[in-house]
Amino acid sequence: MAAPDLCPDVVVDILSWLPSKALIRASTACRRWTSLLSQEYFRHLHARKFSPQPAIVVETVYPSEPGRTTFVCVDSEGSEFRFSMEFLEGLSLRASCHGILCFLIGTKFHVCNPFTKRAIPLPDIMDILDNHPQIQALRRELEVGMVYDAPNGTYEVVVVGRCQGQTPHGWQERFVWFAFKSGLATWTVNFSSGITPFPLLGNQPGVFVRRCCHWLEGGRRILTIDVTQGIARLRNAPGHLPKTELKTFYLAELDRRLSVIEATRKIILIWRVKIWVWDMKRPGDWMMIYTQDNQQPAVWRSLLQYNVSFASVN
Amino acid sequence: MSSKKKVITLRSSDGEIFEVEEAVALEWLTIKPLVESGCTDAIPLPQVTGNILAKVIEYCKKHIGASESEDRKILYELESWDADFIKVDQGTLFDLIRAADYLTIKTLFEFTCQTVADTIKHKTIEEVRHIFRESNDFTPEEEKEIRGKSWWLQGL
Repeated sequence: MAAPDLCPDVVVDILSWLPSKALIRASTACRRWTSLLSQEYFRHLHARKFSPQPAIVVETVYPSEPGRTTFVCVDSEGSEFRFSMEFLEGLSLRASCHGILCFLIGTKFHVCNPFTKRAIPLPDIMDILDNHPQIQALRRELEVGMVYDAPNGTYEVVVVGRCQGQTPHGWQERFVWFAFKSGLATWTVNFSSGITPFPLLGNQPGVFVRRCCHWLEGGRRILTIDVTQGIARLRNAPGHLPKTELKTFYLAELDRRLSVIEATRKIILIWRVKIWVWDMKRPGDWMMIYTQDNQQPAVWRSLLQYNVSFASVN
Repeated sequence: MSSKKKVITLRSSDGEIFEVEEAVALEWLTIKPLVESGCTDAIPLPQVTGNILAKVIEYCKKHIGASESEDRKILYELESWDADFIKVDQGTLFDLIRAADYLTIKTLFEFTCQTVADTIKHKTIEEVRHIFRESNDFTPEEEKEIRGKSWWLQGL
């Protein structure tokens, strides 16, 4: 016998016990379920029972649809989901966490929930830069990190840049770090001291993990800057070969750990993807967590340009 | 009153009479006010049949006091008792959910909902629709679009 006429509250409670992959399937059952599952109440109910799945969000343009930006999420179960953000114009995706995205539109950062299509503008960071006596000549490359605490609905955005700043030894290049916490009216500004010399990394984006910013240097070494303490260090990347035409490396954040993604082209349209994470319990070790052949070269290629992460917060 | 445990009388939709200890009935939030007011008549439960009410009482009698126990042995024993208890057909399972919802019995409601979730977890969407008697009312385009979006449900 089947189950006719269950009231919505009962259906919602049953579905809130489903793990995310089954939930994704369930949300496509019918209009009624899609609407039930998109309610704020359901999200709270589900967040209380399950912590979100770590995944990576990638901004990409498919060859079949030139001129249309699509976002792709690859989660730790290996599932891929695509969505578009056409309701916001001129945006560039800079960070994400728990499904909440951080975009830069012009000089303003926005925090956005792509499911409800709600976007909250943060105070303009340029206002602070223009009026701060200790900052001159901020470089255009800003590294962005974001943390979202799903059960409480609070977020924090961190932006790191390089600027000419006044130090006891005169004007020097150093790091400036801006932090914005939800509920507060403005950004806080912090400086690191004495990071010189700094390797030239080109225009690649840094990846923010646990308040440290990471850059990949030539596919072999990783430079880590602890922005709170102003400490820089280099470590070796996992994998054996340097970047070649057939093999590329990307950095990402996965489950609050630094991870390295290696994409090797096997034959045309097929890439082998390997993912390592930095094992904090065994310092100095990379742990391989994923290896699979993937037919979406565009996804992995675009990681190079938009290395955006999706992480869980404990 | 004597020291003898107070007994509450319940009447199912099909007229069956059940007697439960007051402590058990007080866990059922829907009838709690009636019990507290010292009602001595049989409480009618027009939405619950006798066979389902018997199961509900069985579950609650077993769980009263035991759920809060910190003795691992008792909890382990309770868990395996639950596993046997819930080996029922799908119709009965949904009837139990409805009864637990109607009577507001939190522990039984959570347990039965979780059991249904566990059984549909690995089923295809068609099988899930069939179980819940829902039909696919999306156009093929909408279905494609919704698949892309729905991932965002998981943590926002």
